Amino acid sequence: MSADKNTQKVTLTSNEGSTIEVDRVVAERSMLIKNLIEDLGDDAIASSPIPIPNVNDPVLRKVVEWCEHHRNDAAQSADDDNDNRKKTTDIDEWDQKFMQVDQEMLFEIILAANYMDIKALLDVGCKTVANMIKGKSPEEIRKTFNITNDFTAEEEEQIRRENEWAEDR
Amino acid sequence: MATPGQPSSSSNRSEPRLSTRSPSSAGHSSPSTQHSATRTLPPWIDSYEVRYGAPTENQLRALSSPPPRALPAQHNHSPSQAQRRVSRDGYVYDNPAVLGLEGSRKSKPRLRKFLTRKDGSERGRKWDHLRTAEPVIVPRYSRANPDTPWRGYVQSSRYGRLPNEEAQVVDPEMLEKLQPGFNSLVDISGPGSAMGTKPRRTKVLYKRLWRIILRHPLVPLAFRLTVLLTSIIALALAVRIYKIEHRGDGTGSSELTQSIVAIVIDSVAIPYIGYMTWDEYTGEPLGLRAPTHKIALVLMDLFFIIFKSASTALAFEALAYHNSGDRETRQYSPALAAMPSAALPGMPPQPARDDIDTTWNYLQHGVTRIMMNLQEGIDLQTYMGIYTAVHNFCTSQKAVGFTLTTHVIGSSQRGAHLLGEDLYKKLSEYLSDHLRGLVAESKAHTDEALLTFYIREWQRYTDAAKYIHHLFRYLNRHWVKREIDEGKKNVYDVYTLHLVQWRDVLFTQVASKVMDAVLKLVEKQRNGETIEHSQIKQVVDSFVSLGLDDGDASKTTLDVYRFHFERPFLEATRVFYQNESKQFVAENSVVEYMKKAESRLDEEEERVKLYLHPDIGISLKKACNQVLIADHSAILRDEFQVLLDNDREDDMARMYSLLSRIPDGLDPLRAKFETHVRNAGLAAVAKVASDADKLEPKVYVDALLEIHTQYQGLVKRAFKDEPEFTRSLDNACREFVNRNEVCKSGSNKSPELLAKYTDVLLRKSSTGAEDAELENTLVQIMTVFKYIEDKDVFQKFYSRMLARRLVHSNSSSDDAETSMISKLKEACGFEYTNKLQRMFQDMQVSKDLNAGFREHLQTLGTKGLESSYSILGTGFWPLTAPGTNFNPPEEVAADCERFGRFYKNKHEGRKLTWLWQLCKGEVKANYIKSAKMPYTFQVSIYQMAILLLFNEKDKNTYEEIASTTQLNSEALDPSLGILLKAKVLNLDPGSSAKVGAGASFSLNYDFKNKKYRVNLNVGMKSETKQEEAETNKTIEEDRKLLLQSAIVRIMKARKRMKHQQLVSETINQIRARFVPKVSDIKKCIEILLDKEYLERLEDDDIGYLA
Repeated sequence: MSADKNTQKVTLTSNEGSTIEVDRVVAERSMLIKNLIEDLGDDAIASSPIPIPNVNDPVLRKVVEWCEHHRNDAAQSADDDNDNRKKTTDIDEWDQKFMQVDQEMLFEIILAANYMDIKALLDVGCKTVANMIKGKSPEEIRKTFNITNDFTAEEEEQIRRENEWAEDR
Repeated sequence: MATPGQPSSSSNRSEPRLSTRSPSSAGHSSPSTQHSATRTLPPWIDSYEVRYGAPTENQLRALSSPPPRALPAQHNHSPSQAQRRVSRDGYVYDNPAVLGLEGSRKSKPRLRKFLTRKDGSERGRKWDHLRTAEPVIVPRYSRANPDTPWRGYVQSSRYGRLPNEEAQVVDPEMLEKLQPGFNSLVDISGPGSAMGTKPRRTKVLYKRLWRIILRHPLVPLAFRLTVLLTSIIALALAVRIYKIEHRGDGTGSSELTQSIVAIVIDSVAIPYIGYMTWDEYTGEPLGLRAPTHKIALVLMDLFFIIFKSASTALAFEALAYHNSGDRETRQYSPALAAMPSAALPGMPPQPARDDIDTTWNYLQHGVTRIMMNLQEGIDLQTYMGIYTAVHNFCTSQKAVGFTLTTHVIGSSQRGAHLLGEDLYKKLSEYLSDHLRGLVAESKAHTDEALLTFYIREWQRYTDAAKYIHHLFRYLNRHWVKREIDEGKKNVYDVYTLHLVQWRDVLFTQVASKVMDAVLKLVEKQRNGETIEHSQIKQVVDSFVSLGLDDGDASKTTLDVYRFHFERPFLEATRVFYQNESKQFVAENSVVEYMKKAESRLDEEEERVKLYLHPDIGISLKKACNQVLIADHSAILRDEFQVLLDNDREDDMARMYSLLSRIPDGLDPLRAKFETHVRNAGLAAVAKVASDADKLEPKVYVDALLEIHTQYQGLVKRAFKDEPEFTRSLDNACREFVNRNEVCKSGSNKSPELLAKYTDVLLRKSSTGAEDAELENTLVQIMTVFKYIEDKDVFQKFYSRMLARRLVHSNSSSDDAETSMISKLKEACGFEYTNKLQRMFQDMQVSKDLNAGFREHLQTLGTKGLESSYSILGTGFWPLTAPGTNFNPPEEVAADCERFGRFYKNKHEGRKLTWLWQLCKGEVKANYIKSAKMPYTFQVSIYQMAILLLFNEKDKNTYEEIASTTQLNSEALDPSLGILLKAKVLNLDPGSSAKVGAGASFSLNYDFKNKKYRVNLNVGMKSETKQEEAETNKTIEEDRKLLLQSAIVRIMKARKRMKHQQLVSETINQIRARFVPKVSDIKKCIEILLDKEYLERLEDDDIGYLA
């Protein structure tokens, strides 16, 4: 059965219509696909590709790449809540490299992970973003994420004043 | 690197901060007036300054603990004025819509926001659904430093750590290492990566543009305005044409129609468009409106399109066919035709405004398909479509900003909540509708058909639920999880929602009917028909899975099952068996009934295994036991005596197994059994005890054994060796062993007879039994022995007989003897068999001693008799010195002398007493001429002494014999008597005719016997009789001593005791040996008091005197 699972192929279609063929175990990193296969049975996926309408081609390829690398990780259980989330800085090396993409792509990956229900990938993505924010001043954060400051000077001062108590001394 | 929790030194990187540290700065006087002002002070801080003004220096110093938690926790049911909603991560919802405070300020901020905000989303809330938050906990410890009253608060109100999180503040270098390029700025126009080529850039731009067009809230407005504009122009043109045509008077009637229609339609259209625009931006979302209202809107749009089309059509017709008209008209006609055609595509895309409805319509279609036609399967597209629809709906920003404009703008972070809720509610409503349909359908079915229906629908429903659960996983993961985390009741994950709806809508309606059907089915089975188990099994399973724990959705309880299934089922079972058993008992015998009940009980057990939930097992059993057994226990018990009398073992076993199921069911049986066994035992003894004196020990013991074996077998086979029954049997046996017909004279009879029987078995003379058989018999003897109360009596008799066997060395085998002794030791302990063992040892030692003696003689060169001696320890052997003087014959005396010296040599200081009465020997009669071989006489030493006298002379008188042997008449007379009887000696005719003084004896030379070996050493009846009486007497004596020693032992340990206590203690100690009489104990105490071992103290106490 498990050998069967390892060799069985699944075809995914991005929203642009291009297809990617991956091993079933790899695809099942996504709870969405895992449930789908569970529900519809092996025959359905053998005959036709699975459409992933919310994800475009490059992102899907990226996600699949991640899943390939993590194919042998412990399967995520139904709801392992925040228990095994480790410290923020703890992203393994491969994942760090993997996440070295432009911001657009990074957010697309996060969205796709959320959509396809790949918790580990979602965590990695969010941790990456968190690391990008960490230790920066508001101005730097704005610069990093290209956010325009739409506070008025008074508003900004008021925020500062109210948050003064939280500042490091 | 700073330690976690400490403020880090990274502040040097941040912007220069305002230096105003005083909380009393000017900005604080105003915020209360402007509600929507940005405010980031966490809401649970009730601003002190706002209420009381700036604190004085003194106050600040006195402030030693963090500020109080000013706002009570927010609950749905909390009666207080609604406060600003605070998300768990500390976000403050300052929008009145969330709070239901809309009434007060409504239009102005809304309009302002509507105009200023491009996108409905609140800043910073985009990733709301990904956020996890820890509640803020404010510790109540006091702080030492008054200068920084807030610091502790600051630290405590930071976001808490996740469990297992190990965090540390790191340098930028470290960050750089972890996330290379994290610091680099993003340049959208030219992304940092190498892929910034031109086609890509245009592509991105194109995408952006598309998104803006699709999502921008002003786009529909633009469409509406276009339509409005064209309508106004068309109206103007139509008026113009109408005027021209009117002036032309008559001929161009067709143009006239065209223009009239255009005027009418456009003049209606302009206010209509105005209204629609207004409604679009201010009205409720369509999904929340009343159905009639919805339809009205749709129809309005429809009619608008129809009339507009009509007008367009007319305009084109005029353009095409009526070009005969006047020039001016022809000039305007194309324009008039063009305007509505421009307006028509400008009709706003309707569905976009109504996300929930379209989404839901789509979903409903899919869900219905899953519900109704799952077996046909759904294809990948639909599956992914539904999932995507749910996902998009939940994450959609557009839906919020675009359609729910009016009251949601500015609070769109609510979107994730509200939209999820809508979907959830829709689904929930859909389910109840579906189930209501099923309820209606179910009314058409009854009984088995209903069951089939129920199971089919349940199966289908749960299968579908699993699918839908997966399809709505996104909703589960975010909205539902959040709601549950926030502690909302009545929100379940989608699968549970299915079950809850089933329970609430369908189950409450049909459960009792389904149950009726189930019960009917079960009754059918009980009546012998075959039914389909799986149906009931499935119903049971469905009942069980409906047991949802309201407190915790992940747990299940059996409550629903217990209430709806178990209760009626048990009730029905009870009623069924009550009726059946009543009827059956009336018509059949008790034995038959037992068979029936047994099979019924087995059946029920089987039933539980086959298709019921194991939870019911115990209570079902209990119910059945009550109805089938306990209610009829009286009859059953009455029948028991009959069964016992008739020895119906199987039936008794059955009754036992039945009654053992109910509490206290067996006690009456045991009582009856005990009485029965006792009576049987007594009867058996009475049968053999017709003549108590001549009673053969074997017969008596066999009679006892037979009864015991019989009933022990019964206990084993019918009562499964149950300890209580064994005890009853033991009681009964003890009773009839110790108190029966034979023992009427005295309770010593039983042990005496038993000891005698043992003696018979172990004596050599008895019929040579096989070893194994002998062992068996000994085991049986031990069983009887266990029941004997007066074990000391047995001991006495046994040791006496053992002594005799050993001395006369006519024990059948040493092995059998030791085995018996070890058995006794096992039963009564070391002390009991101590003496017996010592006797045995003595015999062994004697053997060695004899060998040594013989060697000793050989070395000396003296030739003595072929003698063997037994040295018996005085204390251990129940033997007494002879009651007569004796002068042993010379030959013997010499040998004895030698042995005596030898022994003294070996063991200094020991005194030997000769037990002449136990000595025996053999003499050869060489004087008898007629014999070919000399006869050998086996004789006692007394007889030997007498016979040896005849070596001297042929005639001896009684007096001569008596003086030479020194025997008194009690020993001499019987010895002579036997010699006379055997005709070894003849009584001289001249003397007196009786043995006694004056008689004289002569040797009989004509002695004749068939055997050459003649045993003349025959014990005499009177002797044994006497012995018995003696033994009995010593028993009494020994008992007294035993009692006294026991009393002294107890008192030595206790020093001081109440009389009553002492008596009972003594009984306890001595019971293993015999059952003492209280009067005897009292007597013994008196004796001890007299002997001053004990003393009488006040208060009935007795003290020990050392």
